[in-house]
Amino acid sequence: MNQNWPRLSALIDEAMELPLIEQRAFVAAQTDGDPDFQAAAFHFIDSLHSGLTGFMRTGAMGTDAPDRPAPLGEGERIGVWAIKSLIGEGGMGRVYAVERVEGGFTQAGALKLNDALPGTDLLVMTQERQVLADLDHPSIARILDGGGLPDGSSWMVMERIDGPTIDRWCADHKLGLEDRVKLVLAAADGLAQAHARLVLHRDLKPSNILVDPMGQPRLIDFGIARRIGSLEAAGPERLSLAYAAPELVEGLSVGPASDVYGMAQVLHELLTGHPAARRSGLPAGIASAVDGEAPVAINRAALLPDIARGAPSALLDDVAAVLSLALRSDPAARYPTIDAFASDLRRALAGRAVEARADEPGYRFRRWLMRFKWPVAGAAAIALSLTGGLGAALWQAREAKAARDAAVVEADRTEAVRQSLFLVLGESTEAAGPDGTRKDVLDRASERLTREFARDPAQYAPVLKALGELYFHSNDYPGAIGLLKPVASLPLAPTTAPTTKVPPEVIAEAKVDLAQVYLRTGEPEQARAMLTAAQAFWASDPARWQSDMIESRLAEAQIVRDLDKDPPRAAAILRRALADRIAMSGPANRDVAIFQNNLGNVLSAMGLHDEAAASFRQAQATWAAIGASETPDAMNTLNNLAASEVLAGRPKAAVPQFAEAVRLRRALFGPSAALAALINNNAKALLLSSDAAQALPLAREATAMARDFAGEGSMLHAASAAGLSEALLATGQAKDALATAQSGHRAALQTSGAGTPPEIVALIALARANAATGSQDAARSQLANAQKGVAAMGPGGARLNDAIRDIRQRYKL
Amino acid sequence: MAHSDDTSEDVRVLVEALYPQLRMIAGALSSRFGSPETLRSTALISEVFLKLRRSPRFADEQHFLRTAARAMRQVLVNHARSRVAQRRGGGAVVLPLDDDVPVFWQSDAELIALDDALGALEGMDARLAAVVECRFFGGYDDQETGRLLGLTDRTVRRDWVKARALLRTLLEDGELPGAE
Repeated sequence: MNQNWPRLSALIDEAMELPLIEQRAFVAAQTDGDPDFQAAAFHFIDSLHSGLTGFMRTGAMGTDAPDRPAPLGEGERIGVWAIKSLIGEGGMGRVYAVERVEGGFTQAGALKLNDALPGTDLLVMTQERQVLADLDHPSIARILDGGGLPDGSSWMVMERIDGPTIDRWCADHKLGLEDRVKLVLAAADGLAQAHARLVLHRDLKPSNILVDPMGQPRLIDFGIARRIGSLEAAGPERLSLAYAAPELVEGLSVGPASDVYGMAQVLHELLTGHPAARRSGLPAGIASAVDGEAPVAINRAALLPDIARGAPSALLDDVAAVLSLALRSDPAARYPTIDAFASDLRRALAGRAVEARADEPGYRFRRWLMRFKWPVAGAAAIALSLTGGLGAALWQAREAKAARDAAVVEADRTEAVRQSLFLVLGESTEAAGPDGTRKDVLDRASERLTREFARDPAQYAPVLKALGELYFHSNDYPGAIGLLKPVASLPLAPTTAPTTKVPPEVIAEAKVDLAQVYLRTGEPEQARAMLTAAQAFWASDPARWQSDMIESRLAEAQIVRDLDKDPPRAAAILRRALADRIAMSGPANRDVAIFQNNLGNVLSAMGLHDEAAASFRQAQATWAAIGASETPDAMNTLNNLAASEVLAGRPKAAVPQFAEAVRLRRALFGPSAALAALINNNAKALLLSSDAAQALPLAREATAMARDFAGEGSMLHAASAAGLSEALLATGQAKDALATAQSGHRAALQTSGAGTPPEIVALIALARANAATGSQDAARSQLANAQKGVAAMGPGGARLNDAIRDIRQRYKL
Repeated sequence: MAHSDDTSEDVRVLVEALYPQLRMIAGALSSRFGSPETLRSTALISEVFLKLRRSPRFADEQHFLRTAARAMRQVLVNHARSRVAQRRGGGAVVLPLDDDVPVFWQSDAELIALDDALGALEGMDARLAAVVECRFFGGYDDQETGRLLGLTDRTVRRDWVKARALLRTLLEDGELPGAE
């Protein structure tokens, strides 16, 4: 063979380490005195740099494949489209920039000319194209035109997206973790619509998702998209193996979960720079099939440098878990739909428990706690939205527009509060043991903080108040009162020197918190006393406490509605406050959405159902605009919107809305008083739609849950029990219906007292059950009593009067 | 890596497995040349591997991939040789062929010449030839090739350039540089 080769090879290796222009000089020096060897070395060096580019290049070879004709030139036409230039060339054909000039305007498009394939059925292709053309979503590039050519090739024109691929775009904009996830979510939206139309994409990868100048991701190239159900194996040659789900590579049956895999690979690449499973060094298609069950390892070290720095650990862990589930090699083990995948990503972004980690011990509780750690509006404060039933209020970091100094102090304090509360909660979690429920933990923390507060009020008042807000958030009103009352009862006298070292604004906040609680427990007088005192304090320095004052108008309006029975004045207060709020923060703001929601409630109480629905829809739009559609507040809005349909006499329209709200709330937050209220509403809507069979199990669940979370005899419990009794009657179980109504009424009477709304609601249910079981006299007198009570309730009692009238007619009383 | 006698038997098994696959997807592959994101061989090998992965013979993926690259080379070259032989109306037909099997290389003659040149290279520098087998016939990238051969990415990149320069010189000049 060639004895000189080892020597030559070593010399070339050394030379190749050097810059190009120095290589010849290096070789010359090293081979001085050996002209033959020098000539061979020069020859080799030259051969390295001349014309090797295309030689044996994998992937790049064969561009002049014999069966593909020369590209079309500028000005040539296909259909009404004029070729501008060749944009790209792929395995299936070429893509041209094209333009249609017609009627004086120009339309730009991207024309994909597929190679003629033997056995292609043009009719089938036309049908496929029609399916794609029907997709209309901001995240999908629209199909504009298409057809076949005599040689059997086919063409399709789609919108020309003026933008880079999604990975390029993320890199150019140095997007962080959260924004990358959001971008994939936007693309997933479009994909979900395609799936709803039974179209799979099947070739998802970064180069098939472009981002337009508005920042909207656009899915292109449903080139191998097939209708679900009309699938045939396309073979691996048409796939991008690194991104394709194993079942696509194996030619097994594919479904929405295959696109879940593809979309997850795109996100994986956006986060780490490559699709998953490359780590083993195997071609990805093989690796994912071999060890796809191993969890996808994304840690900080694996992230692209742009996002590694700012990525919150909790979010990173959740996203990694979501990807791990979405990239399972068994399609049945993945998220079944792109929506399920997207929802879990949204939960991760919102700091809520993701389904992918639901099995981890203690995970849900930790995530629940985490939600209270968010920095909000520039101040690391405890963000709590206090919601429930038909009313909402908000406590969050105070915006510092009018009071920078106050905000700084507030931020410092809330940070300290957060630390203390976390310390206490953390220790209580430990003390409660591994099986401790959320309530066990809160109760332990509550006991301990109450003791600390007695010892050192100044330090522990804010912590106690914060814990009270947590209780409120959990719909535990008695617990919230126990914690808030000690702080709210401290003297608050803005004009005189404080008698304790507890900051007066903390006391004011505790008072308004407590007012909210009293509104929920049906004690509006107490609520007014608390609110009035707090407002008097804020009025002493209106500029500084502007935000607090505006927020307090929510509670004020509810008190005016409940106590003064004056919905018009309540609505006026809310409208003025809404205008103030928008002026303060702009329209796309959480507080604005809450105001719109509450305005709807007041309108609803006034009987203006269509106006109420319009206000709820505005609130929904605002929730969507700020990306908060899956928050408790947004779910309340959805509930309220459905309720307004019921009140407007369209219960059938409300059923699916309630069902969706129940589904979301159950999945995201689990059992609570608010969920009980929703289920109860769902059951009511079904009853009104004459679907008692479906209503019955829901009414049963709502009643049990209301008893556990809102308390026996509470308004919610009374209403749920009344609904259950009605459902039992409608399904022919009169005896059980009577027993349920009796125990519901007894509880309401004991807990809330005669003549209170819960007692009246329970009384009407009892009258109905009595009438249905033949006790006409008892029913008659109970209805008469109920009517007196309803008259005292003002306009809010109109619905109850309707119920009384219906029972009288039905049973001829 | 497995013993050489095992390997040759494994290559035979894979050639048998690859060949029908090759015919099945050949039509699509032939129009797939030129796609920068498609490694045609990888597609083929992935497909075959998925069918064979439960066979104990190929439980070790590295062994499989290394063998597959060799088998791929054999399939393609045999294929080309037999086409040429058919056209000439005789010669050693290694595998039975049908006329509908399309051309995989720009010309069969070129592929056969490349295989011969690779044979010559094997005698001179086995490592370079192995890199060519993995990179070109296997369709693996630098990283994968490096892992299979126990080389760094950097070495694979360098070897790949050197090997191509040598092969082209051989194909054009009919002799290797440095020959005396």
